[in-house]
Amino acid sequence: MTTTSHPVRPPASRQAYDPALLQARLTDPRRLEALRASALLDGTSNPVLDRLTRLVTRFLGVPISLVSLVDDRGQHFPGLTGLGGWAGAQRGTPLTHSFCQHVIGRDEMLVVEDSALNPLVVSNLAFTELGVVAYLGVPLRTSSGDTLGALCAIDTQPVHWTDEQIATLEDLAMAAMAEIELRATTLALITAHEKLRTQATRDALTGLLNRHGFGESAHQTVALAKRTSMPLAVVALDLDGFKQINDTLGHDAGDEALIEMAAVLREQCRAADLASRMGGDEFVILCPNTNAEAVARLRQRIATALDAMNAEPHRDYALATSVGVAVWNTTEPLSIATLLSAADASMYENKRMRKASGQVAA
Amino acid sequence: MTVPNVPLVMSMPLLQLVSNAGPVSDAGPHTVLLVDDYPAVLAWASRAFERVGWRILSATDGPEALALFVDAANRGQAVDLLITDLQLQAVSGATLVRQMRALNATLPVIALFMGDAHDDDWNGPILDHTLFFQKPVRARTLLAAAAALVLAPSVGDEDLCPDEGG
Repeated sequence: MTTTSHPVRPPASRQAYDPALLQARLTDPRRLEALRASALLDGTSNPVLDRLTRLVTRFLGVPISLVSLVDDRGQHFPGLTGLGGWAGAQRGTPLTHSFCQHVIGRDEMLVVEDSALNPLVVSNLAFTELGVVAYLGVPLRTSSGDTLGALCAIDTQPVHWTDEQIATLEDLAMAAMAEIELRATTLALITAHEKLRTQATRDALTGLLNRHGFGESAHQTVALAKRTSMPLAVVALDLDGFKQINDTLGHDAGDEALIEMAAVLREQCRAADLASRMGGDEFVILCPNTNAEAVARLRQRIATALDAMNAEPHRDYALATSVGVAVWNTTEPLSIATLLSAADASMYENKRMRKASGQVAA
Repeated sequence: MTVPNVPLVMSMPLLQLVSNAGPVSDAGPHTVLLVDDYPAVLAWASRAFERVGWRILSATDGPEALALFVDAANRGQAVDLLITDLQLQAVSGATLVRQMRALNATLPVIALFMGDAHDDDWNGPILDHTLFFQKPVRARTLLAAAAALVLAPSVGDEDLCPDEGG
């Protein structure tokens, strides 16, 4: 626990400062990035910050309190009590209506006992249009020292702010800042987690599911097929002549072949199909609610798309695949491993036949 | 929030526009800045753009990309197009776009993502002059989108890219 010593109140005469300083601080990229990371600038309310402003109005005996986050275009109020009108409704104002920007410009608290007598704010539209007569704002500062905005108390008549009111507002500002930083940290962790999950389940080269991602997603698809007794098909595909492409044209060409193949598969698959690169030049598609006729149509679409691609001008090589299919007929026990190995066996049989007939180099 | 309201697949009008547009050679070679944390993807895209005569800059993360972007502008060879993966390390693709748009407000952007892209940062003006593609995408499609964005400033507006159904 920290005990707050009573702050020293700056005299009103020393509140003026260089406008260039205000502009520099408002547009500071690190500050703006921290504001974005809080994800509190979209005009919605935050229940914790709303309650903190309610505490401000009770403790300080004022009608209005705001958590104001100030970016380079305006101020946003994720926490708000007592502010009506358009500013309250849209939970924010442009900078023309902002006292709080001066808390950032000065990087310290702003004390206004009567706006009419204060040269810094006398022409501010928050005074002339919104009726902000007395204002007390303390900085909302991150642990890395960036001031994101202010927690403020507002009255519509002059107030002689006491040291106790200032100290209370500073305590509540610390609580508000803790909420804002916790939120930013949580969002960053969620994003990082999603990124890691994507990396773990996706093939970095093609963006298709990898073997691990296929296993995870297939689990759900299989469970659904069992419950609904809908047919389920697996297509196994293997690029013909992939080794030759790599050996004669280089690995960049090999990578390109894999990406193009993957793109064709994704384009021809339906939304519910799971297209995956299992490793090397092996691809698998799991097709829910798909019987033998439907999977034959998918297979035909893929073949047609590959033919069309091979017919394009200026191609160094043609892409061809050996394809195997296995369909669960809804009566036998269902196992994804069995389906996969059946599709694989069918694919190798297809490749063997194509080699025998000279369609694939031996 | 996912990336909504944006075309994930190039629509036919755009492809036709591209085929009518001819090669990108009206004002000398254009420069594309490629950003992806996986080098093999950079190599693949570089090959595709080299073939059609573009100048290539490539980076594996946001800070490196931003340095290249500023350096190119200082040398008078400003980047004409940014192609970035959305799921970058350190600095997200959206942040990178915003940083570059602060320097060039109309910079055309092609954003690539894997699976369901999650990024809270996509909203408002940042969507202008931007096309999204889910990976994997064919190099040919990327080239078509690139030519369209660079040659026709209005591409990226909704009239050219109606939402794809599936």
